[in-house]
Amino acid sequence: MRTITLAICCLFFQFDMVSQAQITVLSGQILYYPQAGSNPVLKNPGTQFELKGRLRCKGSESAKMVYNGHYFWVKGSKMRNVQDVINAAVKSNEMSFSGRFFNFLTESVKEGDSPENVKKHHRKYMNKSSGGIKGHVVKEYAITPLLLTSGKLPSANVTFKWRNIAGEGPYTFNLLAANGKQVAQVFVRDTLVTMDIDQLSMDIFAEYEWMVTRGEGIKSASVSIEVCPDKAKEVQTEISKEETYQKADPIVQQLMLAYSLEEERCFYAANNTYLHALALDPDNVLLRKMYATFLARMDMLPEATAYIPR
Amino acid sequence: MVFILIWFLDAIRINLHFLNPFNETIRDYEITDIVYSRLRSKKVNLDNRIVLVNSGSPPSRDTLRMMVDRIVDAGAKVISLDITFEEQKDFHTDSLLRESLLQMENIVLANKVADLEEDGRTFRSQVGCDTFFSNYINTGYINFVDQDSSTIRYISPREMTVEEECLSFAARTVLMYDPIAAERLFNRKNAVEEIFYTGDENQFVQLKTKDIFDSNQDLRSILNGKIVLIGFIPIDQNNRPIEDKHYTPINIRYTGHNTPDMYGIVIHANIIRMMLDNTYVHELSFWINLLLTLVFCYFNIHLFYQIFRRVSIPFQFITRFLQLGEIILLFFIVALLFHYYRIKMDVAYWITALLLTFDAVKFYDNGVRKRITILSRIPYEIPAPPKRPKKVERPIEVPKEEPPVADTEPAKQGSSKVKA
Repeated sequence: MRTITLAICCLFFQFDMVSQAQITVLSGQILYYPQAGSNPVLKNPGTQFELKGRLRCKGSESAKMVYNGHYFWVKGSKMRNVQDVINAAVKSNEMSFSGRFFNFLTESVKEGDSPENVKKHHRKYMNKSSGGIKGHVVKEYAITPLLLTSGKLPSANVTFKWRNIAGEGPYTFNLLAANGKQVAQVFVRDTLVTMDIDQLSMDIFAEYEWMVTRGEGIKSASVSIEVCPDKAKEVQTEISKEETYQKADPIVQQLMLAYSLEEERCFYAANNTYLHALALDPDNVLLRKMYATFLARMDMLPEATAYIPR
Repeated sequence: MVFILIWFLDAIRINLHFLNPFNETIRDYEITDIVYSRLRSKKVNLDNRIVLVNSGSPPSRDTLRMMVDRIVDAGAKVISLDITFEEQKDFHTDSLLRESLLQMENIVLANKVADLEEDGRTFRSQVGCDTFFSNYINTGYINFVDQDSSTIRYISPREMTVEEECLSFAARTVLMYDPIAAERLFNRKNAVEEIFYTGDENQFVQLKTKDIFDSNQDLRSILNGKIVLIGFIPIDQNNRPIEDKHYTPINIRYTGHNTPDMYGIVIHANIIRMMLDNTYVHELSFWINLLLTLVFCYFNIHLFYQIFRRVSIPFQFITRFLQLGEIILLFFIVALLFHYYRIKMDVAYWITALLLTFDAVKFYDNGVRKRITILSRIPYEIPAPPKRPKKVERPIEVPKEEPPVADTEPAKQGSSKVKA
């Protein structure tokens, strides 16, 4: 009896061990947030993390991961719940060998792609196939948003910018909540709009998106943001405690602060810090180089070239 | 008779491809391709011994040098470069690269065996790696058994050149990583091994060049004690050029027009994994195959003949269904054996025998048997042995004491009573 009880306990323990499987990064990099409000942990290929918390990629990068024999991609800087990503990727249990064999046999019968069938179901086949090279036939997101207004934003006046494109009519700026509910909509002729975030009905730390449209079908990708009024101050307080920071000259201090802000996804505040430092010392080569690389990371290469020292 | 027919069909190999485009399409096809392509479990079985690193194409030798330095520092056990250094470029760069490559012993460079001798056994030369490198660093040939851009199914583990015996890229890597696994491979003494594909590149951790140079990356935790394969494997899912991409049996379309599906470095990784895991494909020997074919053929002829004798009118109907059912069952068995045990069976003769059985039975019964008197004397079935009569136990007759009768008739009546 004791042996049987022990065996059952071992079996349950084994199941428990199996259920605690981890996610492994196959390629790309992931910023993993183990708990709400915690600092991100960079997960490189070959490293693992647990089935809890949240994750996102850096900028527009993508990463491939594997969990319990299923692999999946995550793309973009949008914050996602790990559990939601797993639920979406691992949709169904896999069939047994006999099931796959039976499926193959029945599919072979159904899949007769005779010319008559192709003609009859031509729309189904058209739906899967198209010609041309990606990026040269139909551009899905013709309007390019500038990523400085992504990530964590202050609760003050924030200027959202995007690149101009050929076309007629005003741009429509949309600010949406995570559930798709509209928070604000503005029609503008220029490629920027300044909004006082404090005046809008937006929850702190909640996730929002902004996008721009023009006419019919011309749009930008959604850029995710969250309002974190005191985040920049927190970062500054944290860094000011460090001895290296205290000993550094004002310009280097600004650089260290800007880098820390960027690490915390406070891109808007980081940009302001760089600009503030440049105002103090416009000809500083190191500063100009650092700012240029920051802008390049924000997909603002034309602006970055203006700061590359010659 | 069935075997004579099979032999006859086999002997007259007429190329009818020009008449049959379908035949041309499935020329490069094996029944196990369906197992790989459609019946294989799609679950990822991550290999923790092999890491793939994308070098880009064409990789700069300076970048490669720096990559090798970082990987050596991270404690990789074997570094294999699926990149050919066909000639010297810049002496300074090449010297630095060679110095980096000489930092550790377990580094494999890629070369190729070329110029087959007329005896068809020995290669005259090794090309693809300049002697500036190959004289100091181990090499392994990267040739696949590739017949006119066909599916990559086989690997030759070692080949002879006029100078020496050469090992394949994968075999050399395995020899350095796990000598026991390499010995197991050589003990098989097969000139050619069929590649057992575990899966696509998702079975392995993949690093980009920038991941190697990222100072925030703890490379030691990822690469320490592992095989690092450096080659061309674009990681961006939207930009996957066809360079160094080959057809393999796991291609989702196993016949007809399709696109190459696997990068060379991933094929090497699959071969290395097969060698390390000892998951070779087993092929049945000729004699076992022949024996099984004989048994299968006998069973079918016997079955069909019995059906023919018993129900001659719906014979055709029943046997056609039986043939279809048996073909599906055969396919299931072949797929099952390959999927679980990697046993590869050639059932071509089985199916030919199965298809010919019906006509052979009819031809034998109507044409041959009636004309040849000796055959007609052979019974349909071996006659059963004669049954022994059962012993009937008769009750012992006890003579009754009766008065003697002169007439015989009453005596007969009396005996009949006893019998009753």
